[in-house]
Amino acid sequence: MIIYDLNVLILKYGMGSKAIALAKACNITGGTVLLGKGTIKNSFLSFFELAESTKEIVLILAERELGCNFLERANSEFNLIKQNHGIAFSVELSNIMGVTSHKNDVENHCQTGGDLMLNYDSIFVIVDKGKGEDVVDAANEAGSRGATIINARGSGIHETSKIFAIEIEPEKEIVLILTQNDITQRVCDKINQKLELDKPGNGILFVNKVNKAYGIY
Amino acid sequence: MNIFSEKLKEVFFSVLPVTIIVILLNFTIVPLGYNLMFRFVIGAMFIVIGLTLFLLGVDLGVTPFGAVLGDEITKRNKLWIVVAAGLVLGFFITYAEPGLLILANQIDTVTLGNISSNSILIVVSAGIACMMVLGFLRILFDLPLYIILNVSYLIVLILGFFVSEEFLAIAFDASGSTTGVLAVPFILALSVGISAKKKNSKSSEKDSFGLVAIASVGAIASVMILDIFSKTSEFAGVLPSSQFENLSIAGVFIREVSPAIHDSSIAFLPLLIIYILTLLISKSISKRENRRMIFGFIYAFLGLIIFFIGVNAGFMEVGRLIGSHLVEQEKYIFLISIGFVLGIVTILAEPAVYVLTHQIEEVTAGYVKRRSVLVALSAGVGLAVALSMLRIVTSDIRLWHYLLPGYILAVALTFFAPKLFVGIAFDAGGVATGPMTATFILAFTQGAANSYPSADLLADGFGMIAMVAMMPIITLQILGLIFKIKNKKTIKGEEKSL
Repeated sequence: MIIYDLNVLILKYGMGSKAIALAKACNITGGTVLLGKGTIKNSFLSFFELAESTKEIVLILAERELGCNFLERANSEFNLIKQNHGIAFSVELSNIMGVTSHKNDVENHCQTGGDLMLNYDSIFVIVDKGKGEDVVDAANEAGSRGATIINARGSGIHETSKIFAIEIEPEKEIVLILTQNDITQRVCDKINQKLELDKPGNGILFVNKVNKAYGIY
Repeated sequence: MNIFSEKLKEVFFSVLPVTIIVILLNFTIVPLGYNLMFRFVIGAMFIVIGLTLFLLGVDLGVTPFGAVLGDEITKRNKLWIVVAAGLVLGFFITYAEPGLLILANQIDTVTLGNISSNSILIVVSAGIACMMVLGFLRILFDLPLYIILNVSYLIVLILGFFVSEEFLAIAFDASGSTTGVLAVPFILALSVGISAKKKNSKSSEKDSFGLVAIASVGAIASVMILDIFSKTSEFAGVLPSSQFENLSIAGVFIREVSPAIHDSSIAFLPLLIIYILTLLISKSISKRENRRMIFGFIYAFLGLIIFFIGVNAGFMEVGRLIGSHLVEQEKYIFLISIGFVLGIVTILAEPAVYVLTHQIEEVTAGYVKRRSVLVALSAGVGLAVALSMLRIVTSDIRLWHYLLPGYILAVALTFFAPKLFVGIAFDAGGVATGPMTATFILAFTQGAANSYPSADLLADGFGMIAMVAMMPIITLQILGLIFKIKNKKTIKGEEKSL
């Protein structure tokens, strides 16, 4: 059975298209780029409300072999080893559709070596617009290092309404946090407690295991 | 890289081209002299710092506030609130626009006091207020933008037949002057705030733009109506030109400080009042958002002051000198081609252009790249300035020879171009005419018109802003057509959803 992975790269603004070009060079059919903002942990900057940077998030679906190869190349190409050059990770998928499978006989053996990191989790939190920063604060309190916020919209079962002639879909923020799995539970609990996710309509949270991660320190 | 250094880098590279061009000119055709050159370079530095701060402030303060306000206005689900809010916002934002005040004073002088500057301020502000309401309702009731624009421009065309030629130029210039440096980001954010909630993301995308365009038409029409009713027949042929005394370099900059503070304060005042009102009414603004917005406002305010100082002290006289020098040397081909190049590079440093292109990129999630919008915009403005220069040196061409076919083309294109681009294009028309154009390019044009013996300062010197407001509408819609042809797959999806 072919295993597919979702490869996520969080890069500096403007690098998204380059990442897709690189993916194509690695025989991957394509990818999707989102705009987001990253947070910076710096108390001086955050006093002046400047602790932010524009990021591009690249989502690329690929077979595990191709994906590994791609991430390796992305790692060296975008210099993820250095601090603040971006991060990359991959998450295993259980089902996939709409991807034309490659007839690729070449065995791309993944030379991962020590980079394989099974001890990371990715946490996704979806909350109302404006609350993303609260999530980041809560996560930082519990020991996480940073986060990426993506603008989005969507509505839960409680929230559809109509104003004049337009149907409303509330704006949301998706917060993406990578943590080491020994603190994942703590981070989740803290977010849960701060944002009261247990009550309906306050947002949702889910955690994925990360196969490989680059650029985290 | 935090947002400050990101912005600084971006701004630096967009002010760089115009600086390089002027320095090149200095060493080749138009020697500016040591003193002026030094002032220009310092002015450019002021502009870089001012623009960075201003844009940062817009990002942190003005845009989020516009979005919050748009949300507050619509979520009550009451028609009268929307109408009242549109009227109040439109009126006060326009009334406080520094560009409009300058224009009103000029009209006052030119018509020999027949039309007082106060009546212009009130009429234009009221006109824009009404159009603002129309713009709000359009988004809420799903009226297509191109129909509203076509009808409005038809009315403008009919009015145009009754308006004297001098006023034609003034009226179209008004559309550029009213949608100024602070109004544009705020209006853009408002419309994004209202339309962002739409369930159909494609229609919310294209509804995010067009409000600036509708407001611009309001300005044109109201000045025209004012002229028709006041029946002015006498015009003064001269504009009061400001005298430049021989001051030291530092002296020039210091002299510009207090007018800059004054202009910025007036521009910010209505925003501040609306902000305080919103705080009192709305309970949904969190402490964190509040703090961020206040910092944003402070950045934008400081940035605007520094920017104005840099433009007025460093750029204005250089522009005038280049224009008059080229005419005096009878280098007309140079004049036209330099006009073209200056148009291209100046627009890159225009604050509102930044906000619009970023807004476009954000709303379309990067599908419409900043770069391609900038290319189309620059080309349009370059052409507009070149054509204006041509008009100065050849006395046969009248302004309406450009405007009539231009606007017919612009309106005709609305039927073919993708609807998203129609909104973007008509907004860009108002956006392109910000403080950089109104000082640097306007000074360049007036310098040229002043020196050319047979050119009429009033008819030739105005008009340029009207051209700069018109050309991007055409070039951006052409860009939309190119997108449509190149990207058939996506557009098919869009048509289905229409």
